[in-house]
Amino acid sequence: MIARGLAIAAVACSCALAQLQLTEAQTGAVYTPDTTIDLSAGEATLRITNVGSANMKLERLEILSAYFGIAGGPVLPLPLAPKASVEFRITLTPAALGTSSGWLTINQDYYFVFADVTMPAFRIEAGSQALASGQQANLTIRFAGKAPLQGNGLLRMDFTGKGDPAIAFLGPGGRSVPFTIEKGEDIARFSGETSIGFQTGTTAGTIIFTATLGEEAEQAVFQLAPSVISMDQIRGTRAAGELRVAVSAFDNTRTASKVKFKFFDSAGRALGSGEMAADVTAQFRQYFEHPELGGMFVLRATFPVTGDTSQVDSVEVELANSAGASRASAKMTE
Amino acid sequence: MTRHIAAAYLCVSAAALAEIGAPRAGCVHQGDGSLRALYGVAEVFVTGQAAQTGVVSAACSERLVLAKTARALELRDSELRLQASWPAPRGEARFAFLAGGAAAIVYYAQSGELLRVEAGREPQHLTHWDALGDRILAIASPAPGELAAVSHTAGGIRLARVAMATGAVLDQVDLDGVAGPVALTAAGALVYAQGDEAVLRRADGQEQRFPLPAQPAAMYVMGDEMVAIGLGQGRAPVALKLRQGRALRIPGAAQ
Repeated sequence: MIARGLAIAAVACSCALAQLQLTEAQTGAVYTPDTTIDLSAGEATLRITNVGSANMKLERLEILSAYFGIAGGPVLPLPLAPKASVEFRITLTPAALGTSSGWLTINQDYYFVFADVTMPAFRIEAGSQALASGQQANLTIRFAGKAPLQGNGLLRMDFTGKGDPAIAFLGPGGRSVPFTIEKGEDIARFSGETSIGFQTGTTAGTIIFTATLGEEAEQAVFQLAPSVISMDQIRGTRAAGELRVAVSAFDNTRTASKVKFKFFDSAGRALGSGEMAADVTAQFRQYFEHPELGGMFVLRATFPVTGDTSQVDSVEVELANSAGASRASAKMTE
Repeated sequence: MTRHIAAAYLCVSAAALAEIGAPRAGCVHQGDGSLRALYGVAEVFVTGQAAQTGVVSAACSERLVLAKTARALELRDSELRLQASWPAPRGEARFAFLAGGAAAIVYYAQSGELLRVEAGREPQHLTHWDALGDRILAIASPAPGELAAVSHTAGGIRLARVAMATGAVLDQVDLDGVAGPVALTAAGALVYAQGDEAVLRRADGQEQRFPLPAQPAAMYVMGDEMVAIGLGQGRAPVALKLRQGRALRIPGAAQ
């Protein structure tokens, strides 16, 4: 069908072909009515040149398509002296992904114009550093080129480890968020923002992000390695007859086993009999049976004291799990 | 969720009592008007179930949560269990927790009333606070018997500290460059908005700036060392961890 149309056009316009030449302004590529003009890369600037030896007129310049348009074209009729030329742009406004086509008419010549409209390839980026548990990070979806039209997609977050509600997107919450790609942009938007925040939770495992746009899908996989217990805050307080210690922490392996406390005076000398250790394996196992908070916890300990507690200056806490032991200390306050 | 472990302390042969529980980070007043418990460590938060909806203003300390709905003031414990409720005028409220943690001061923005509230007692109107100004943006109690407030005055925004019993002005200072919304902590930290930034001004005068994704719509104290910054409907609130000087986002209620 297309070939037949082109053949007819070429026969009908043999006289004009001798004088008019259509080229792409940037590359200089020459189009004849038996070639097709591929605009899949976007709009193009074309040039019509009178390559004959006699004056002629450009009387007709139009495009028969709902998806293509002519911009910056000359006022017709336009006299063209030998070697004179005129430029115009063909614009593309596709209605959907897929093939858009039409016919460009220059005087009596017809040129088949088409564009295979696809979304540029895209990739998921989540920060420049390796992700670990206990973090907030931002994620972006970048496209290899500008989008030819607006599109709507979905970003999903899956986790292979134990249940952890803290592994979630920020803002809307949950583990799936819609995104849009606006025409002419190369970055996805989440409720208008060019990135979406998320939390890595407090459980070791694998986070898999899947971005789906039309029939295309892209994944990014991030490992959250098992780690020693991360102590966020130790609060040690002195009260009459006792010392209180509260440790806010997370154990992304959920295998906490031993805890040790050591108190020091202002000179850094260990007080009392030194280290106090306890096996807390069973208690933590029972606590982690309820996964509402992933691997986060607060450990509160109270130590009865006889004598003056004001000499106790600081406390050191050591917590162990299957990945090893971690230690942190804090000043005691009133 | 709590279990006990035993150990011995120092030279004294006594048992140590320990428990493992949920690390409460404060409370969060979401953009949808719900009030929820907030748990978290490091940079990660989990929000609890909605304890109340239709909340206009809220604040929380380690022991208390205050929530203002359209026509009531609620006092809740740290687990967000209702302890007391009193009728209240419409509009927003500002809160200050008193030392000891059992009582608080409430300022009703629309009626201009200032009250002391405590579970099991009727609210008491405070009478000596004219020096604080007409339009109070934030209040805090920096020391027993003292009340500090950031307020609009004819000359601009001012921070004043008064003795609650007499209303005597202890000190006051103009806050140049400060605009609402504002939060004031008992430790003397001031958080205010400047365009799309939150500014943390510590008690020693040092300032730290935090870029935000939108202009702050509200600020409130959400724990002993955290200030929440509301960014309006549909946006995750930001938690400013004062000690660490870090701005973190709080997950929405959809999880």
